[in-house]
Amino acid sequence: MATTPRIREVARAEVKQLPLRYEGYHEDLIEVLDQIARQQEHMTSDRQRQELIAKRVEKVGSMAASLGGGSSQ
Amino acid sequence: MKIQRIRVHNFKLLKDIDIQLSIDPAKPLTVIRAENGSGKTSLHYAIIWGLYGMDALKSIASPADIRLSSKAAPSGSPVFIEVVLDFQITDEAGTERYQLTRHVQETPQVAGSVVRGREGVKLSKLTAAGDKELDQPESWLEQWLPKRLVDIFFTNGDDVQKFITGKQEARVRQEKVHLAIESLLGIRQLRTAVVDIETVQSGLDRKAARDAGGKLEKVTGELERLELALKEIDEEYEKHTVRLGNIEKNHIRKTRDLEAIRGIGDLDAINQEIQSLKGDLASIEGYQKKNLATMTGLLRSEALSWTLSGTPLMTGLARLDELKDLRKIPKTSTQILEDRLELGICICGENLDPGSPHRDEVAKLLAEQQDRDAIAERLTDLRYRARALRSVNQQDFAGARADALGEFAKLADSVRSKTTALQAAKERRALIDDTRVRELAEELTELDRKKGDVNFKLGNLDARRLTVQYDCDKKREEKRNAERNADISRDLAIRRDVGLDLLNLAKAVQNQLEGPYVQRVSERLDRMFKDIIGADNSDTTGVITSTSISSSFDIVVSSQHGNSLDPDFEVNGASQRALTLAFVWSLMEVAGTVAPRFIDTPLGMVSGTTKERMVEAITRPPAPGETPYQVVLLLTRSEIAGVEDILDERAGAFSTLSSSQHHPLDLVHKWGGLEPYSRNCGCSHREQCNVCARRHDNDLGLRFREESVA
Repeated sequence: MATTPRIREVARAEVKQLPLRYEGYHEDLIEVLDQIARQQEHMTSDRQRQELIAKRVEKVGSMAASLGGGSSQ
Repeated sequence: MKIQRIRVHNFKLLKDIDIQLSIDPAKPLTVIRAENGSGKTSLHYAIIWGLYGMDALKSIASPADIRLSSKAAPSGSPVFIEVVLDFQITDEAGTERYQLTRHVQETPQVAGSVVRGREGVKLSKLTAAGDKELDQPESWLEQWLPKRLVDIFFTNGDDVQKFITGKQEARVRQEKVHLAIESLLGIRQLRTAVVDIETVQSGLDRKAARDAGGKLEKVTGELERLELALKEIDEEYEKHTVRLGNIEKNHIRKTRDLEAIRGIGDLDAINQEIQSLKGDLASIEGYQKKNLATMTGLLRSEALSWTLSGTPLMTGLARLDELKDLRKIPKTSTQILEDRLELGICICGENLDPGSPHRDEVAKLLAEQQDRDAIAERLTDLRYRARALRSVNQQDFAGARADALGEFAKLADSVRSKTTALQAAKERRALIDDTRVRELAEELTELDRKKGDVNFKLGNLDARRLTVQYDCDKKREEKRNAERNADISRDLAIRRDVGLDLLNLAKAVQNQLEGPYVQRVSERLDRMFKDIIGADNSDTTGVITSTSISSSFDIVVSSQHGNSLDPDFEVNGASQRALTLAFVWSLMEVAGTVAPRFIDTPLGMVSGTTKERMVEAITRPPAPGETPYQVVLLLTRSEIAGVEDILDERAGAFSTLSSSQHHPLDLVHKWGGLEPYSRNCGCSHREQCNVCARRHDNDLGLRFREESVA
């Protein structure tokens, strides 16, 4: 367990404000945010952290594209 | 993280220590009893070194303590030092067990220095299928128990007090408080995450614009520049707001300093008072002179004569009057007889011519009278002369004297009281540091000026922000229109939407944690602190009325009438400890952080019911739904005194540390071995054994248990 369990807890409540792009989208966003917060301890450079975010966004984006059927555009 | 077992080998005097800690949620406390010099601090350092290595130790210990091996170790012989920590981590998936081992070899040199080898560290996950070694042990530990928060998890008796206070500016001294709040609640991590997501999002925006080309790319670039400008304005605004907050805090502190000096009295007012008192004294002196002159006059007055001789004089006058009434005076018959003889005729008509018989008789009578009445003549004379005295105003000397003396006493009292007041005013004036008053007044004026400057800048920034925000909104609309007309790939658009969702989520979570969650810590801190110091919420007479965490994450101690107290000078040692412990407990509870709370000598300055309440509060098992925790208290026998029953109830594990150096003065039994060392036994605070028994343990009523000395 990370020393910051409240991030996940609060995210569970706040994510409800966001659109549900596919079934399980909210849980995935929470997971990504939690990972980003936790992985900071393992990553020393800004670039490393941002690459991780880009990868996670891309992964969830792919899921949204294949399961959700489109963007909000 | 909960530590289950600590093993220490050859770390300073800790030769072979093996301590089991309680991980039972219902009994969160582990008591490690140890007298001064038994190895408490070494154990504290050994755990920190075991977790984080030399760097963490260097930040808390003085350079002289950096040698890890015993100073009694012979030079030239390598010493193998090792710390092994068994712990468990519980998360939503369940509980996992881990073992961390850190070791190093030190070779003492003749001069007392050491040659230290390379540290080895190993982190293993303990599973039923066998141990699995994890890569990057430091990263895992940083995630579970960040090194930057070592002060929160492992505190010694002095630092528990210095955590919040210290002879530094409030902003600097509360840095640890800010760091703890931001790190444990996750605010710090989210702040970094928001910046990182924004950067990623900008990248996606740029890519989308490039893909669409032409107008969209241009509009996106312009929007980015405007958003950057907006961000810079916000950062500048934040910077100035923080600066304004600091100026205001400084203003409050300096105003309080000035008021404290003025509490002694305003210098001008005191000078005026001194002048006035001096004037009063001069005036009284004048009255005193007049009073003395009055008394001198009284002593010279007829009134004094009348007081001294009035009674016999009046008696004499009465007697003369009586003689007059008896016609014995005045002596008129002699003159009448002489006159008659000279006229030659008596009052009765008889002839008194020479040769007449009657004349001879009268002449004879005259001679008799003249011979016999010298006294009567003197009395007559005296009566005539005393007649003037009857018209003299017979003043009341006694009354006048009493009046003069009364006036004198009043004036003397007045001189005394005015002199005392003058002396007191002079003493108060001596207490006032005139230079400091002037300095403070000047500093306050300067702070007012700075406040004005910052407010002016904030006003300008507000105005600029409105303009840039308006331009931004317009540009966003323009971008949306351009996007509608552009051909952005569907995948990229979806990724951008997901990035935006993630950014909004991170910001929302950050806001929640910075607001309501910090407020929860604040409320819990206030309750727990009051519980410990024994103040209830209805108490309006106590010095401390409330504690809270401000929006800038400072701990604020408030007193009557809303004044804030300086924890350095206006909060006593026991309350400072209570405040720090209440903060750590409240923050870890609200943050949901499961981590050890290891405190060396926490009750040093605490006694009586405050000690009981403190131990009660920091060992209370968590209620259902609350964050489980583990607390390890390293206590001396004197700290234990008075709280034994609470320890009985709350502690799930006990150990006692002793040092061979305490034999024979304090320690009863000799253990053997030539070099000094510390070891532990399983004795609780109610027990003694062959290892830990001390001279006064029987007086303390400690029961004896068998423990192998070998």
